Amino acid sequence: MASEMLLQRACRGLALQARGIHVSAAASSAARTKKFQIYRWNPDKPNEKPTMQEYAVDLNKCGPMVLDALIKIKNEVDPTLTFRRSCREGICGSCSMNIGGVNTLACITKIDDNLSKPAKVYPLPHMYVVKDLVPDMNNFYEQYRSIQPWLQRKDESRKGSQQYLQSVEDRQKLDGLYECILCACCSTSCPSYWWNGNKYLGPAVLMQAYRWIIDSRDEVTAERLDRLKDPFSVYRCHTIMNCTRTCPKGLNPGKAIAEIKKLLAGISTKGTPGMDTTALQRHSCERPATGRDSCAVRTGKRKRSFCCVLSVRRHAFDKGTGNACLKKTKDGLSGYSKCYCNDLARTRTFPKKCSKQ
Amino acid sequence: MSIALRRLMACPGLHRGAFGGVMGSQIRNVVLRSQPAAVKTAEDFFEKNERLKRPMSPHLTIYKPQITSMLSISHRITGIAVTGYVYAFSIGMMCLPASFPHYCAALATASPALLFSAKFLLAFPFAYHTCNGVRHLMWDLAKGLEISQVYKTGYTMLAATTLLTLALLFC
Repeated sequence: MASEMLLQRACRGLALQARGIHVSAAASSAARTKKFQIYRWNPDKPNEKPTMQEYAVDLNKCGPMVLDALIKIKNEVDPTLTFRRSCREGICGSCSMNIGGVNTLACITKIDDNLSKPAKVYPLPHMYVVKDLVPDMNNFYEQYRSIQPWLQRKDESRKGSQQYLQSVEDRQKLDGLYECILCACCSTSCPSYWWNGNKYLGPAVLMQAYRWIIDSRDEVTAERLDRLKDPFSVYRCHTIMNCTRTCPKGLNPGKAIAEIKKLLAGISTKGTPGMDTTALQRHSCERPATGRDSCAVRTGKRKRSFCCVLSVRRHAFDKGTGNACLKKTKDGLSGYSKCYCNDLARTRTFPKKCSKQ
Repeated sequence: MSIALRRLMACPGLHRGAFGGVMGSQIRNVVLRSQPAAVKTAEDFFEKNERLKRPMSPHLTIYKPQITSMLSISHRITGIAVTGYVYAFSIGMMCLPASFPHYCAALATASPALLFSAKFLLAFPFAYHTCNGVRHLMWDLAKGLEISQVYKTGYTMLAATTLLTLALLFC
């Protein structure tokens, strides 16, 4: 009995202590209450008009970003508030919304310190609303699908056997394009996309179209451009540049569209790849006439050496030439007519079997 | 027909031979009717959203006015104005009884304030559309499309427009 009392007292003491700490932390500075006006619409009551609901959040008890405030509201005030979020670090593109009149990602947008002005949060503009801040992105995704956003080659018979080569300069052309997270901030900031969203592809999708058009490894450039040749897909872009202004990743869709227009008009051309894209494929698919496991060739230093996929790759990168075909030898001992490497096999780390075409 | 079929089925020899054991000993009337295949109508994105009565999120009314969009819409408005002037002048000159110098002379008697505002309304759209047109030509070559450049050329264009408008007004 006595021990029970002791325990109880101890517990109470601890609880009081804990509360004291909590209160002192909160009381150390006056509450900084920021008002959030958030767009609400409930699909269960489809005949009711969307409304703006106001929530007050003490910024002292909230993280710095708008997403922190939204999560706090959902956790502590109104669990019905609905929005998309995932990574909370600006890489997934889920929490894109219109904050303070500009499209951006809630997770990397700081809450405005000005307490007198309420923060207004809307879903992405001119989109069908599924619920509250969640827009229907299906049209956007369908448009993305329509540009066929993957690498395409005329001959894909050796696909996956070896990597495609790309020069440093060609790779640099993709910088500023591939980083797009498809949050749709740019597309939904574009007035042209608002009025012609069904036929105009919009900045985000067009920038991805350009990303594949300009890729030196992609061979269906002409077909890709052909698909864009109509009055709407590209040419509803009037260089308003809201897209570039709003991109939370700091990319430039407006410039990418301008480059597409130049390609379509024939002002510029894609140019030839700076490297022999399929050099590695061609090497690994040719088989010596002797039927040996590895490909024997004659080199200057040794009578016989072995070239193989592994060593070619290492050599190409070690040399920094970027080109696997360093020296073509004539018919060697094995009758192997083309070899894309010379003295490579010192360490003999070649695979046992040459891959067969 | 069905009676004929039943009779045929009733014949024991045929029954086992031609129809095999599938039909068994039971005899049923089967009437075949052709029915149009149910056409599967794929509801498209817009139809679905309309059916669900989803509202369109606000756009023009809530989006922050920015240099980018404001200069763009002004370009369009001034373009429409300039085109309108060209049409109005040419059609007006065709329809009106007197010649152009006649109306110019008549304008000289108008009040200076009215004259000034009329001149401004003529000069400003022309100046703006011309200066901003240079930006657009540059953009068509994919030049000056970094956002800092867009802002810089935007302010430069506004300054040039002001100068050109003043020149047209006072020269």
